[in-house]
Amino acid sequence: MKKLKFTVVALIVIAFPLQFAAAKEKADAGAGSASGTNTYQIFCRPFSINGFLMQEAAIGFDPKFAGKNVSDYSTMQLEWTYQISEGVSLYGINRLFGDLAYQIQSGKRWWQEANNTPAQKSRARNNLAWEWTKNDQGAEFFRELYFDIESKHVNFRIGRQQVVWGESDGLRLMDFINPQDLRREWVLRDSDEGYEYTRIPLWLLKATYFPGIEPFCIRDLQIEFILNPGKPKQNRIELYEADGGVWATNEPNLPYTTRVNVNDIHPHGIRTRNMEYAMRIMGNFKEWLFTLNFYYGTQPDVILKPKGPSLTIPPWDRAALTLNFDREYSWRRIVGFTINREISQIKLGGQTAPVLRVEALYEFKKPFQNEGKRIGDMAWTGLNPKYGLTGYKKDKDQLRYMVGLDWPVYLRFLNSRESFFCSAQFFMYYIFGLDGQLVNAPFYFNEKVSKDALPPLPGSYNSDRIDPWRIHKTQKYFSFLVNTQYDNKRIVPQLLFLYDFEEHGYAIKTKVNLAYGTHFRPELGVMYIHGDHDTGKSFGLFQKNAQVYLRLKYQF
Amino acid sequence: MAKQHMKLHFIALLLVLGMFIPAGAEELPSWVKPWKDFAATQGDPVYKEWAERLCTPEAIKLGKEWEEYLGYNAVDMVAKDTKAPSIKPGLVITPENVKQYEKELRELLPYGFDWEVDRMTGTGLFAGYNYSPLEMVIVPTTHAWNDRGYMEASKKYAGTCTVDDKNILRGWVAGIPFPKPKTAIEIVHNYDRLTIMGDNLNSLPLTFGYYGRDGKQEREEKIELHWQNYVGRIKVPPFPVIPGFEDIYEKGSIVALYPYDLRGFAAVRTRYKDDKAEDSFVTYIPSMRRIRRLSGSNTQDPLVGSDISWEDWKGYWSKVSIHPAKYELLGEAVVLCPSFNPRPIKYEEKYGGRSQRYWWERRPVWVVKITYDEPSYIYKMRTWYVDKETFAMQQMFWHDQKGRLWKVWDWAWRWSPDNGELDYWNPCILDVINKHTTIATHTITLNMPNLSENLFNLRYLSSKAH
Repeated sequence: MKKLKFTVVALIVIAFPLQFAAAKEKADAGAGSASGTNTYQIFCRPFSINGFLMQEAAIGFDPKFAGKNVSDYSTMQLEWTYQISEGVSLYGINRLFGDLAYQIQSGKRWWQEANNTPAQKSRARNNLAWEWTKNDQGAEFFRELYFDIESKHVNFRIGRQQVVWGESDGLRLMDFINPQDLRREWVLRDSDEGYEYTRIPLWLLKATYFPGIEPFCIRDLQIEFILNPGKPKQNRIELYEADGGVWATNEPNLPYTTRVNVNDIHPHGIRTRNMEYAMRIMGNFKEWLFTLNFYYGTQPDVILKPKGPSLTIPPWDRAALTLNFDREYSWRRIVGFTINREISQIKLGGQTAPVLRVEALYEFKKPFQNEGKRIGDMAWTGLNPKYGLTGYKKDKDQLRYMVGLDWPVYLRFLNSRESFFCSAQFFMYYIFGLDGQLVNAPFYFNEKVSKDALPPLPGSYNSDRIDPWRIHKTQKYFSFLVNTQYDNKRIVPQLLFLYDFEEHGYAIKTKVNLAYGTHFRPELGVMYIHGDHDTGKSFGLFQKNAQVYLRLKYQF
Repeated sequence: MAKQHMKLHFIALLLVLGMFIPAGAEELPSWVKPWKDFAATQGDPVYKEWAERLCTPEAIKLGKEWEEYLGYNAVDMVAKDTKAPSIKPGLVITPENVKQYEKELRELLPYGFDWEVDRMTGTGLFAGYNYSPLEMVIVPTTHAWNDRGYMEASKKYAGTCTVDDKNILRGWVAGIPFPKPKTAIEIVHNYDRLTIMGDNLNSLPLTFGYYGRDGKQEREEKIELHWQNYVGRIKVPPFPVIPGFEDIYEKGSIVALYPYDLRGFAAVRTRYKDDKAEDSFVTYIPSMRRIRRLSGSNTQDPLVGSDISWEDWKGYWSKVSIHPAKYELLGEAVVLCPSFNPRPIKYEEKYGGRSQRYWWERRPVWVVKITYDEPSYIYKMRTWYVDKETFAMQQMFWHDQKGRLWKVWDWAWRWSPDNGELDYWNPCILDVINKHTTIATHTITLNMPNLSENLFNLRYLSSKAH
């Protein structure tokens, strides 16, 4: 009943401005031309509102879901600003998001099978059907809501918001303030659109100070302070397909007599001990646009903390042995910088120069899941007496950086009127003082182990059932994005390619956007992900998300 | 003695009478008369109002000063030209009567500019794309001028300007670098250094209307535009440079207001004085929610779906040092040009398209052709009519690298006779190959005191960021 009430109210709220917008459009058309910025007066102050309705449909082509209609996302979004006074405004994004596939496919056998996995058979995964269900902690109806207060030297932003740092696309390095919902198509969902749909907003206070001075020839100096009052959130990736739906990551291989149980011990509510702090200094030094970044907060990703195994008697789903873990989110301490500049010394055919983008950060004592001295020690399970229940992780300093070039290139034989925007990025992660082995637990066993009654125990070196997803001392990734625009930016084809050098996995997303007229924005795209399907390493975790999709957006 | 007394009385009487003679009774300059007479015969209140604006003491003073400085006025120059006698003030040429005047019209639009006639006849370039017909309202020639600031700065600094062997302007401080140009490149630099025809500008909003192959409006986009010159300032103090910004020619900023997929896009573009330095182009991209630098050297792509690029911004915003070309002065001529319209161009659904109606007049122009050396550059050629009084572009067309006439553009300048301020109304740019049209409608304020620097820096982008 509550759900129904909420839905009705939400629909009315959405429908009201739509009617308003439609009425205005009609009046404009009568006046001659369709014009407008959708700005109205409320209590003699300007209120502007825009938004969109979007329906998507995807057909899978990974062998697991080939030819199946795997998702039908529906989105209704309003974005509005109310200028309360000269220096104060209220900004909001209201979003209703859901997946009609849950309704359309609910009676189909393949869907039911995909929705029930051995690991979490007891939990339904319908909570990804609509975003506002009680199981979904990220109810997004008020996705963003904040006050902007401007004064001579300081701007404040207070409320639920996104803070986006950094220079990199495709993979996030410095963009770590807000966590991300990775349950749907992983980073391919919107990495080419700046994570607009997947970044999880936070309640924050942001103050930006503009001192109005130019020390050391630095122009446009500004200093940003960010405070999370004590309600951090973590990335949502759903390793056990609990509420990831059919798009969740592949489940780790486990012997069929074994189950993994992960307890959610994440604190709820606001706790001052969980306060997060960040600071960014930004400026322009002789056309080098730079930032210096500092952060103290919580880790966005889980570390499994073993709590010891337990037995289930009788073993109702054949899994008699349960490996129990708690989710652990440690502290995160980061310093870093970003710089960019156009390198006008390099020019292709005398025409355009690339923009160099560099982003680097150093993380102190980042926790990693510990395998032990050598592969097979399985320290992370807590079962190896040599490491006990405390040797499950290692804290190591890590350097992560990206060097990228954005280069608009004229290939007149392919597009006589517009450039090809090419963006190549090289990522490197380096762990200092690494002794022993680190792994992405629990992605540890290969598929062969699934047929075994017992898991390999600690000390099972050279087992042909073990093939962990290692965290290497040096990890390298590459991304390449290219797009161009035909017919004065009305037809926009784009390709994104991501590559993992260590695991030899890759992902491709290619799409075509059409931008004819003011309102309709259709998009047709393909996502293909290739990785180690057997062990689910790296991109292999998500390769069942291969799909062709169609997106139809009506904006106003 | 009596004679002397009489003399004194006579002088005193003259002085007293002189006090009672109204100032307006002073004989008007010859260049005002054609407009005054025309307005009187037509009875149209808009004509009358315009003629009165040309006759204010401020306008006449400024007009005289410019005439004296340049050594000519357009009215006298045009009077000597006797071609096309049927095209005279009061005539309205429309697609319906154009046949009658076609031959003379083509005579008045030499050097390839008679595509203006094709727009009315629906032939030539417009044979398959006749959605931009034209109604030419012929008015008398106007003696026009720029802001006094340009004249004063030109008097002071023009002598220091030269063009080097790479066609780069040297020694410019402020004003029109070559008030008496002898070569095409000098005319090009004159127009380039007029920049936005003032020291700063707001266009709130600037609206782009896009029209498709069928002549129907396909899309509309609105942006806020701000522009500021940091050197070469002539009207708003400090002169001629804003201290601390000696290295910057000009900065512009925009924020997109409409439609939704563009809304929130903001950018600050900086053009440096150093001819080798690329523009800085820092943007806020709302879909990425990031302040991001884009390549300032990428100037050839269309702007937000329109038919203009940064290369065509304000008609011409190309860097001579970066795109080498041959500059030719094809000649000087009296041609038919869009006049100084006191109202925006009137667009209406007529003659099967979106018809434009505005004032046209005969004006003296330089005809300039720019031919680019680079085969990878977007254009092969640009051809301009440049006004001999205002130094502003009047009409232009571009050829693509295949040598096809690609885009055409004419201007209808908004002009204030009192102070010589010249700015933009709502010109249209026609792409005759791809068959679409952009109409850019400005809402301009020029030369504002205290225009905040916070419209042109990272703070502007930060404040637009969500």
